[in-house]
Amino acid sequence: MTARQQLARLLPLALLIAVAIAGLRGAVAVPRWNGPLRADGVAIGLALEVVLGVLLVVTMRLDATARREAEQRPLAEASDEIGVPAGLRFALKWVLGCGMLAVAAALIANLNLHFLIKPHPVVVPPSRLRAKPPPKPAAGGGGTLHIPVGPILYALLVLALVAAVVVSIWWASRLRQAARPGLFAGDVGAEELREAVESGRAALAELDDARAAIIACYLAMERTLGERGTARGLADTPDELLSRAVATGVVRGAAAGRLTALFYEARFSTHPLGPGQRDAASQALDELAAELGAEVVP
Amino acid sequence: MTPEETARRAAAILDELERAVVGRRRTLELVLIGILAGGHVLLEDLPGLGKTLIARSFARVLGLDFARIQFTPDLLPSDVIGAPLYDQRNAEMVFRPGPVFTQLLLADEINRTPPKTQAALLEAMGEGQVSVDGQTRPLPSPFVVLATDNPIEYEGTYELPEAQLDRFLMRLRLGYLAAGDETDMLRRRVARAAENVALTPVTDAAGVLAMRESLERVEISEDLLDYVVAIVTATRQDAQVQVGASPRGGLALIQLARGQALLHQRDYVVPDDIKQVAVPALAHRVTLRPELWVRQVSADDVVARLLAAVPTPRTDPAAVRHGTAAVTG
Repeated sequence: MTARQQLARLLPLALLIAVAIAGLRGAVAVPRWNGPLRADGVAIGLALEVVLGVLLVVTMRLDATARREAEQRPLAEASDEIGVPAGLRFALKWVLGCGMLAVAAALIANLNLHFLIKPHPVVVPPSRLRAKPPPKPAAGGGGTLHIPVGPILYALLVLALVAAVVVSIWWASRLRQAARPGLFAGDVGAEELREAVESGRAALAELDDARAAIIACYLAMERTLGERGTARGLADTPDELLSRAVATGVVRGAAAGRLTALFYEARFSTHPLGPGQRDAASQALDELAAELGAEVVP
Repeated sequence: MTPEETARRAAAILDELERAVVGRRRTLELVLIGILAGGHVLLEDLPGLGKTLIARSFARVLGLDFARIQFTPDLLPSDVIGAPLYDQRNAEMVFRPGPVFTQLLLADEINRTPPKTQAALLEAMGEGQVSVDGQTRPLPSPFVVLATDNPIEYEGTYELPEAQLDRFLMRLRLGYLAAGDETDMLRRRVARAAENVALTPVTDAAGVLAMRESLERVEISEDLLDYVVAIVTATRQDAQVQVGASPRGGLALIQLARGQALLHQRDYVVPDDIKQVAVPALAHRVTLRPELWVRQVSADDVVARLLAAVPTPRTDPAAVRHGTAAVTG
């Protein structure tokens, strides 16, 4: 399992826990925070958030750099296994993220928000009602506009958490679909390969010269793949491109390898090519088409 | 000898070698490619991984004269190349050839001797001849040096200078065997009840020379030559590299790629051949910036990264001729 897949599994769970904490806040009593730091609690919390946030950003940037370096390595060396440094970065990201969430939860809990808790009506004895007139409002207090900052912040937090849960679940399901065998393990899809094979066969039928026909055939295939966003990378060889297609499981036979070998011979050799090679290319294309379930044109 | 015949003979050589050297088919292929390309091979890894066994086995299977020099701190250049001695019977100085006058020389633990003695091999490796007392003496043909190098010991060792490293066509690192191969090796040792495997020569010196000649007939297209130059140039321009590969590195890459093509029964080189031999051909010719030692970045890593970035020849040869960019790749 890759680090991304692990993250996709853990993220919805963590967010759900955060939502639960936020929801509980509306139903349980305010945590007591009577220590000596009460007056500076919010400032300390915000400072902690900033420090943790900076550390998280640095860790994510380091992780992104390492990933870019890994992507630049040759395909043969690529591995889905997580190394020790990558594992440490992954754990650090989670620790920092969870720390930020915990500090945010503590801050919110300390805001003395009571809008979700119905205030208990104060039972006043009838004798007192009669004895004391209701107190007059303070001078100048009746005309000020009161903005409930706390409830608004709280509502925004809950909304953000719910949205994050939805997005993370969608992301996790998308990754699961991508990793499902039988579809696209790489970036070459079955439909694209099928169209590429048809383009190649058309090129082979149009040209008489065996060398030119084979090159045009492969070129058409590659161009079709490129137009569909699966172009051969600048530093890739044709063999590497088709290896990816074979690795998806869409192309299982040896036809793709034979076609690539024929292309190599046509492209990089100078010895004459006869109709035998041309027929072999045609046959390889037919086999590819058959493997992909396309209709073979005689 | 045609390329097809060479490929068949090479396969027979590798099969025979595998009777003694278990689980190292790719290493054996690369050493054979190096020999066919007319070069010298540096085997660098920890003790006990089969470096000496590989050299001995090659000498036996290729039917070449074999000599071994165990490099030590007190070895002198004359111990390697030979020295003139006074012949009392004829009252004249007579040259006594050193162990370098052989066809396959195993230079064992070459980094244990001082640079002065290491340099004694330079002319022999570079030009196939030895000059002593103003007289130049050619070495037997073929002349191949298989040198071994222990990379972990620093006490009493002398790191090979860049000029010496550049003389080697390729540097190979063996690594440990896979568990299954190691078990197989032990099983074979127990089954044969003897220390050494009796290998049979598959060819001889003339056969090796004929195979070398067939390698020269393997063609390489113009754009692949450009690709090789682009790779070599990239090693010189990379930010992590202090000194890039020399032009000799480009020549080595071409010869090794031709050998790789030959092993696959082709008389033409494809880009994959170049990619597959680029790290053994170039990594030891690249000097990294000193600070990378702390980050444990090796020259192998840098060359591999460059290979993943340097563009391969385009698919369409017409686009190459006309300078158009119909299809990248």
